[in-house]
Amino acid sequence: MRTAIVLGLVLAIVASASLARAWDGDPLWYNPANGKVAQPYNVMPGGGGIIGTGGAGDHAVTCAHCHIKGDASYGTIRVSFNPPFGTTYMPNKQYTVTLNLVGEHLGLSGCGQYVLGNINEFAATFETDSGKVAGAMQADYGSTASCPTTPPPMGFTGATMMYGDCHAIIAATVKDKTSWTFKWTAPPPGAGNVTFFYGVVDGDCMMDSLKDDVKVGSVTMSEGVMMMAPPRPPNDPASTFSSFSSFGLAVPAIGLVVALRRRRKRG
Amino acid sequence: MKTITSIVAAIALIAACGDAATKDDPCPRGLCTGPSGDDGGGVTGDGGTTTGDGGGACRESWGCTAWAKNAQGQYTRTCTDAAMCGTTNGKPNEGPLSLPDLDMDFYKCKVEPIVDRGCAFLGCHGTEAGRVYKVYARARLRRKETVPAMCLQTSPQDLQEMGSGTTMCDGWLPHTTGEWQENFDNARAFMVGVANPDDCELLSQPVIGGKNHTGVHLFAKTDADYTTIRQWLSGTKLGSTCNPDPN
Repeated sequence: MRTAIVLGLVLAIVASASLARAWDGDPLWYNPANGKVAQPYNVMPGGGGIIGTGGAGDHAVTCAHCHIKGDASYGTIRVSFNPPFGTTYMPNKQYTVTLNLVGEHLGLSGCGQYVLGNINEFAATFETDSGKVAGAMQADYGSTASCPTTPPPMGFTGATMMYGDCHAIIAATVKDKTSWTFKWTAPPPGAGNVTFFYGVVDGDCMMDSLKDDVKVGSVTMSEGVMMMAPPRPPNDPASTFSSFSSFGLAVPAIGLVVALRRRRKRG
Repeated sequence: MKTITSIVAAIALIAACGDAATKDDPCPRGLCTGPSGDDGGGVTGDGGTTTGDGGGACRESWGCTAWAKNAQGQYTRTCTDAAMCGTTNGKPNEGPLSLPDLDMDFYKCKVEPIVDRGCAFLGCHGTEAGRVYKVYARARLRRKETVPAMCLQTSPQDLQEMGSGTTMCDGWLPHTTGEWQENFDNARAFMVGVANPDDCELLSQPVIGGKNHTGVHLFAKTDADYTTIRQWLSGTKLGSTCNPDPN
């Protein structure tokens, strides 16, 4: 009987392990790196609050510092964004960002029976040049404005989460996920440049952080110029980086139109 | 006019939709910073820098065995250049030397949690090759040694093989005695020949405003982590026995 219980516990541990992703459970991101945490993840070592976005909030540590590839054939995944990031952002504006893992090639088949399956992850943050969180992020669980101290409860079905100090947005554990959507409200005027730091992991079926595929990067946007424009609802399709980028460039564009008009009149 | 306006608008839109100041993957081959980390820290014998490029094409990549105490009470180790450059510009100190008499209990309970969190990543100091400073940690790099069977295994296992990079099974095991000792020795070795702890590379590399350290800076001089490590390097003792279990 005792053997059966032990075996059952072992199987439960193995079965509950998520594979080739950051941590074996959402709470572990903020668990001390040396473990010693109370229930329910007793003694499990975690990330100590380093999410690995590559931003200053993570000390420039990226996903690739843990998920080492070590294989020249790796490094083929890419990341695309919808909307694409432009060169500017508009202060106070809310954006809906979708981050896509493109070219997934790991964990698509052959995962064993004791594994959760194909788990991919992402982590991201927005920072000012001074390394502070820029604006406000909103995940399916948690946000900059309302930051939970604890991770999502068991049974959480959302795709993104924020908790702890909420300096970054993280993928929640969802099988076969290659796309994540979240909201970002740009900081008020005067914040200056904002850099979006991101990392994406294409997880394999192994129970470790080795030989996953990783893509990390950053996008720096300058602060757009506020224009006299009618207010748009937050979810208006126009609330995109590209449209606001063009909006930001509308000033010189309008100037060009005026100049051409004048030239034409003179002609 | 309408046509011109449309063209201008289109140009504006295209320009705006172009790539922003995008920085791509700095880690195209996995180990982000190369074996030695471009830290600009120079070659200081026993420091964290293993590079000795010296302007040459071959980039030395030194890794060392654990410090071993000889019959005279001195410590030695063997370092090899994985790049086999044939040069020794960045060769770490192999001893024999005396490692500073620092407090193991203080290290276990106060310093280890800091280096586990910020240094032990598999792509950083959690690697056997190319780094003088090496940290064994749970869920990161585990030491090459045999441990009892875990999970569904029925025979003793290679801790490094089965336990690196995972919190599960063997990776879940507390630090072994060997891991504690190597971590302690590797860290205190940074104080060899250093008078002021602030100059010790254990601090001068990761501190904000310090050496390049591939851009990874973990704390400011005023932060608790810096102060804690500095206290240890200065000889402060815990004053009691540290029971770090289960880490």
